Amino acid sequence: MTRILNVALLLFAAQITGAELGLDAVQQRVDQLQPRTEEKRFDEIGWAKDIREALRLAKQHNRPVFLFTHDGRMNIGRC
Amino acid sequence: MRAGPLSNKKVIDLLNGHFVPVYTVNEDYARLGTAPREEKEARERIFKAGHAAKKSVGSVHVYVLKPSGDFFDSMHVAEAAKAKNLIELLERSVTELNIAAGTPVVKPQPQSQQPACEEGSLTLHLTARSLDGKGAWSDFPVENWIVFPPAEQRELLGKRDQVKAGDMWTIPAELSQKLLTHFYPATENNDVSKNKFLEQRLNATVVSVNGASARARVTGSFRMEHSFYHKPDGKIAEGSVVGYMDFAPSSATIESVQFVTDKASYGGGTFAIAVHSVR
Repeated sequence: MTRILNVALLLFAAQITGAELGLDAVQQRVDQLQPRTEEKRFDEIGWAKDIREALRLAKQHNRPVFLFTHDGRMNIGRC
Repeated sequence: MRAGPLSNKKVIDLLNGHFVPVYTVNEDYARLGTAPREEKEARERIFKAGHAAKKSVGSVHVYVLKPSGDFFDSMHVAEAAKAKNLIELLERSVTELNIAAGTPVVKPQPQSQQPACEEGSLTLHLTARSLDGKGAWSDFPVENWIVFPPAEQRELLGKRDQVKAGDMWTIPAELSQKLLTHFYPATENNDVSKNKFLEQRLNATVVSVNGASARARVTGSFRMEHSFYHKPDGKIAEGSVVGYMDFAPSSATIESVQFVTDKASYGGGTFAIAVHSVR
């Protein structure tokens, strides 16, 4: 519901033309477009910085390593 | 994966409570990639162990290694992207390896971090968001960080030591392109060197001067070929831009930037961009 409301607000804001956008309106639109907490749940995972650190911590804490190999940049969503 | 299982509470709890999670970027681990040699060798050893175990191995995969570092299991991303499958793999790993539950070994922190940069640099954070779910992925917004070192800030400000209201200049194409090349929504292709500008411009007009500080309104537009996948498909990202930057003319320092797209479209859908400075 919140997401629908936010998208509706963005679509409404998009109706305002650039010529009408003052500083306050630009700031408001910047705020509205920021990633929201529920869109960054991936950040709730405690990621090791690289494979060697993960292997070291795995031995130290008796835990398996979960490795995901991927194309692009998952940290910024460009993947 | 990020929008799917890696945002699933059960997966997050399993990873934090029983595993040491890590992800790697294939571009960095390629032959000419930036990852250290020891990292590339570590990943290669995992791939070889997977082959030896006759398990699924590939560059976009999930792997589980035992606490000893030995290979345990793997899953192709097409399977792992379904939360049910990934949960089954994780739970089976926990059971068979007899792993006790605990707290995260690494403290969770935002993965999109401001890059290290030269002192006095202007760092911009960009958010791109599909507005209607058409023509682009729309599961979540995507981000970029763009850094302008001090010398480039002077160029952005039209190389002026003093300004008065009404002064106008066009931002050099090389610098406006450096920013505008990221003005596209979430797509599979993120190699901006493949983008081709058909037109682009950013113009600045001083709207106020207050002592040592000034404010410029920035307007412009862009029209850029950007393929959704890596094969050329003729898709165009285009739109108009409006925003403001506060700056100190005498020191050629940009103090604050806020830009948004007015109207922007890509592949039959609409999207929006927000850019703001981070100090």
